[in-house]
Amino acid sequence: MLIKIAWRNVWRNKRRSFITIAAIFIAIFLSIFMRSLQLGMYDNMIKNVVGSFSGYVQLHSKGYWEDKNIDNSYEVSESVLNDIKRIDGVSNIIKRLQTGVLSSNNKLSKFLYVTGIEQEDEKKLTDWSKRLIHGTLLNDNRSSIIVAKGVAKYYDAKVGDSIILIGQGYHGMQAVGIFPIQGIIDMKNPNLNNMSVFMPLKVAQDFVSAKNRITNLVIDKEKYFDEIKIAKEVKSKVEIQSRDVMTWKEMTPELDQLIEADNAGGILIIIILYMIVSFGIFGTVLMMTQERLYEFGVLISIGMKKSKLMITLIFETIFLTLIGVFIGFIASRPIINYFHYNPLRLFGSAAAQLESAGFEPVLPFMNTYDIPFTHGLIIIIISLITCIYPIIIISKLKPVKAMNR
Amino acid sequence: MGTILKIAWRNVWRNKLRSLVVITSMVLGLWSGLFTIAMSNGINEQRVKSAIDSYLHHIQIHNPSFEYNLDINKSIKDPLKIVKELENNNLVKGYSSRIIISAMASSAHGAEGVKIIGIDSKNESQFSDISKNIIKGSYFTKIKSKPALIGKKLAENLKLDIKKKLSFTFVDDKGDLQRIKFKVEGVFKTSSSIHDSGNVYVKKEDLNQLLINNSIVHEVAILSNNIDNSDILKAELQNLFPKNKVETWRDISPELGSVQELMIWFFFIFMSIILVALSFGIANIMLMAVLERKRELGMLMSVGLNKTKIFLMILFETIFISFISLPAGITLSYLMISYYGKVGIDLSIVSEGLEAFGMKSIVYTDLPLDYYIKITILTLFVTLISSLFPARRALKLDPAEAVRSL
Repeated sequence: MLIKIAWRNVWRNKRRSFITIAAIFIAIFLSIFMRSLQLGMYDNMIKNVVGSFSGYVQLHSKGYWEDKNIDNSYEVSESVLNDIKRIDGVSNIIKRLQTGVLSSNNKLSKFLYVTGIEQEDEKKLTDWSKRLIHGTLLNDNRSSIIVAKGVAKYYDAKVGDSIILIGQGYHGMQAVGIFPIQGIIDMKNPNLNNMSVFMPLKVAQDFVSAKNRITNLVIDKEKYFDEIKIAKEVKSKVEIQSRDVMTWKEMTPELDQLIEADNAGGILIIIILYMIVSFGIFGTVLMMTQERLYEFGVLISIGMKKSKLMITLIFETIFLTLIGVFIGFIASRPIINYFHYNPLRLFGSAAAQLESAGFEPVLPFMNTYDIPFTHGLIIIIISLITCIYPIIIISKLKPVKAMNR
Repeated sequence: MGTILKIAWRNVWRNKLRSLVVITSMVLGLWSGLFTIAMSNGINEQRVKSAIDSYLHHIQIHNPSFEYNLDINKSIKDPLKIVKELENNNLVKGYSSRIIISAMASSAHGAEGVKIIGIDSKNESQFSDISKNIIKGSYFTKIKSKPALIGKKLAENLKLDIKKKLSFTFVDDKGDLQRIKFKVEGVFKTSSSIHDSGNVYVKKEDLNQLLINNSIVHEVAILSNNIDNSDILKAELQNLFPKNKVETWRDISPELGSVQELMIWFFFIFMSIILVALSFGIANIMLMAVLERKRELGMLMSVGLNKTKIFLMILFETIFISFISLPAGITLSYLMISYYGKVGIDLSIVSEGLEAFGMKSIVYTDLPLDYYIKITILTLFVTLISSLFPARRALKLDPAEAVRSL
């Protein structure tokens, strides 16, 4: 009965309801907009830093991360690979063999990391041909290398020059070789650019006498999938004590901390936004209450209980909020999706510098569904809190005075 | 006109609670927005400043091909002439000429590639913040023979502590491999963990003994009398010494500058969202106020108040409210930002992680004056637009019908 009255009240005075709904709509719309922008930015940062090379999850031998030694490599069977591939959210898996070597050319020498890769698989992570500055990509059958641009600069090397690599092979074998440079690549990351040399996985396995062995299994995830969940699944699938599953948060803690610190600021901004929209909603509720004092007075004097009136009012608020939140959902969706697929592009010197640091200078929006749900819930709570004002007014209401205007 | 203004002003105070809600929301919105921006701006300025004071400085001069492989023989051309110029240039506040050697540092626990920086310990203690950044041990005072200062991160990586020995392996200017032992005198920590993991400071004279060429200089770091003069000074020096490469701190560490640029972007996106939220709040409440006064407005129209005047009346009412809130919000922000810019906000309770990124736990808020001006203009513009909606709605009222409504 009260619900029915409340529902009819909502439609009785359409323009008043409309204004309240608009206030709620703006609140939900802006908070979804803001949060999608913030979270989308972090997601993009992570994707730029880890997604393009180190991956979200990696599987190593135990002890490899502390001591990146070829003796800490392992063999991985096809059945395990298939098991991992079948896990929910896993999009690609990539095999790598990485080891530190001393490189030398003419009088110069430098410590480098050699990574054996399967070129075709790597392309699923990043478009390598876009990053190539000179030369060509690797060919699985040729024993030539791609060097990062920092290394090329160090040796003043061009495509066609050769570099000598001296390292330690598997179980104390010697690993020495001279490799022609086939391409020069920009890894978009100063650290990687100064340290990386790539060769085909098979060639690298021969070089360090570690046939069929790898050091890292990079597991790439589908968009917005929780990598911690994937890591747990992988742990349960690979039931070997000597393996270690790491997520990017463990591999690059600096980035995680940076995002956490920035996110603290982001939450502060959201709180400020909520404060402002709360005032907006409260303002409309306030005006509505004052406008309806006469009506409340009439209802109470003809015998409606104050408690029932309050409940009706709460129902009204719930209806109005739900409608506003619902419209906010629907209206924000296409806009968020638009900016997700056509992200805002920065320009000017900020953009150029971001680009050189390996970040794409764009602000994509995150288009998951949990953002609208979380913030929809918060708005509903806020508008229920603003209901306290009319409830207080009703409880203090003197019908005669209210009707006397 | 005067009467209209008066009526509008009185209308503002007719419903005090409503006006106070609007004013409070505007003041709080402006204040919290500006204060947050001032805080993050302050954090960023501090980070830039500490990087400049401890290792970037305003300007650095190198041999143009030195930076790629730190070849010991790629030293600065005409170092004496540069020093003479720096002594006489009135834009220069201080300078430090250094020897830099790329070496392998090893302890019993491992080896790391490092840059050995040979400094004049007396001059450097005044020139840069290295002596202030020492967190353990001392700055070239206690150990007499071959002391070294190492970064905190390097100390962790090589499991080193003060008074422990570490050895350097490097190729000298003759092309021979040398291995030499130094003793750790102090551990320093700067805002950059990258800097702390790969740099070792030693006395210049200790390096000179190892090299054949005694007058070799790899880096001249310069402080200008004002950071804004860096570019002018750079151009002057580059012109005088074309064989060397002169760079400002922005050239060397563009990421520090780009954070600032990026922040300006966020500043405007963030402030626009806040202002949109604010203006909708204002428009909504004013719209309700107009519709509530239907009867009254109808009456005014029927007794002959023309539409322009009705329009202006509502417009002025909204503008008055924002004219009260805007100066109040800006003044409140200004006072609090300048207060906390002097005293600082202690964030050490909430943020133990901040220092890891080169932020200090005490934040000094700071906001350039032009931001205040831009925000004032933006707010005025937005409130003006939001006041148009309710005023336009008032025009659409039909007097005959409006008078009859409750």
